[in-house]
Amino acid sequence: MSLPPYNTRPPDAQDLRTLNAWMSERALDQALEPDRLAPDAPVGPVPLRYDAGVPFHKLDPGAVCLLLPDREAGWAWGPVYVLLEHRAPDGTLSLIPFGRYHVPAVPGEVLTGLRRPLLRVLCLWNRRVMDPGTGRGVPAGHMPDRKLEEVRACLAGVDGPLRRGPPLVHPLDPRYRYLDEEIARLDTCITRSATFTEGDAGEDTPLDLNRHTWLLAAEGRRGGYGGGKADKDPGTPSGQ
Amino acid sequence: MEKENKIFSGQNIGGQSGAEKAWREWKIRCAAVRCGEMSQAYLRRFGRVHFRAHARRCGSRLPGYAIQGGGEEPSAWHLLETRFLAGSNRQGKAYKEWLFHRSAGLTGKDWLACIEGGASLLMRDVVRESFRREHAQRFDRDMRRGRPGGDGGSLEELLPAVVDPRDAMAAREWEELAAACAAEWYPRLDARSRIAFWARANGLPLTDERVTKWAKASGSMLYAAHAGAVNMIGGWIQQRHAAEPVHARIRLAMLVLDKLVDLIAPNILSEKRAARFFKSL
Repeated sequence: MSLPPYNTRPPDAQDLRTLNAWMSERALDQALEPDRLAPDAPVGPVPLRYDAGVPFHKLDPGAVCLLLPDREAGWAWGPVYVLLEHRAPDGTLSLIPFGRYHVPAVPGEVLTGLRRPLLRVLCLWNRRVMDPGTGRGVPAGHMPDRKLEEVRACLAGVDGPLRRGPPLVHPLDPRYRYLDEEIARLDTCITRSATFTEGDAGEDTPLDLNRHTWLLAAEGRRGGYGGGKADKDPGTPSGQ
Repeated sequence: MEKENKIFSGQNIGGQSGAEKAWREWKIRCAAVRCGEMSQAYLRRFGRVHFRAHARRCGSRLPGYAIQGGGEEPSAWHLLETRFLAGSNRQGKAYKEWLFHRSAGLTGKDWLACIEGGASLLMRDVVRESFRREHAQRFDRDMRRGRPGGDGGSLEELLPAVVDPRDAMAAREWEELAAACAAEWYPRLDARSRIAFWARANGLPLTDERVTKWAKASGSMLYAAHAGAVNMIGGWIQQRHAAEPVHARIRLAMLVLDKLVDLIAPNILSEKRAARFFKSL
């Protein structure tokens, strides 16, 4: 039985190379410690408390920090870097985690151009908005102003010099598991009650990225599997 | 090696074990080369041992790979310091603080285990980075070979050629074909699959606690349910359109999944425990 008529064009060569490189590093990562990477690993019940580190609200936008985990399980992931991207007038903070690998996995991740390990990729899709006064980190540098503007342009959906990851097309793509892990990785480092707001993140934020749309942001689109669908209201059944 | 084994086999020096002394000295001096001889030897041995342990796991995935004596291991600690700890800059200091923060409040063997656990995690990243740079070619997947994990498929399937309907009429035909396929498959889906499809389409991880409670299934079970349904639909499309190239079949499968979600969505509230789930959002 024939399909209706269609044209084809090859996938972007750069996307193929990036995906190939990402899958290779992923294979290495999974060879190193498969147990830790289980997406439904339990989270410790007792938050750890620190007197050291700097509260996030005392840092300026552009600050790069090592997160001090709130929970025991957060330490198992190794160091987690975040970028303090924005502070709203009401004090809410926008944090964006850096990725584990050296190339972006999905369109919601970008290459920063920074050369240090664990600072090469920024996971825009996993951005968190935190209440004022929550979270602490160890300052580890500052993103150059020009680069911070490029990141903000990406968040606003403007194409710029920062290279994005390859599209997420196949429903069984292993990158879906990676995305789940990344959510868990940050969840175990930040107290859940302070991770996100249900509605708009604030008037000053360039893009409303509430938690329900993490996957759609990772895919670089707002719709179903096929792409190109109208926006749906997250949190309510599709089509209703 | 014998000397360092004697020092660090639990012998106390001024109330601290030799190992603890080495870590505390390193924290102050920021680099092994600036530490005393015993501490240097201990840290380098630590680096070697942990590099080898992690490298063995990576190497098991490389046919013919064998850990060579005198390879990167003697300089493993140096690699850790230069790649991640970089002495005096702010990033390097941040790493050290991360490493020592977890141990706050602990003493003795617990403190040591905590520090060394963290340092082993850092060494893991060193090994991954080293392997990526030096053995990437061997890990690279040929476009036509299977994905890691042995679940079939290839990079060609993950990133297929883009399929565009030739014109508006063809676009309608694709949509109608997908809708007909979805209508045939919808009655065959079980509750777990329906919830998994709906969750994915609405940007919720299958491991989200609220989703797993709703489906009364673990994240792994939801993954399996989702994959099982997708594979069945994919296999069915492959049989009906065997003569078509894989990228065209993938496009049809994607459209069918979209249409299935359109069928699932209006009835989602009638799924068991749905009301409780939506209240939790």
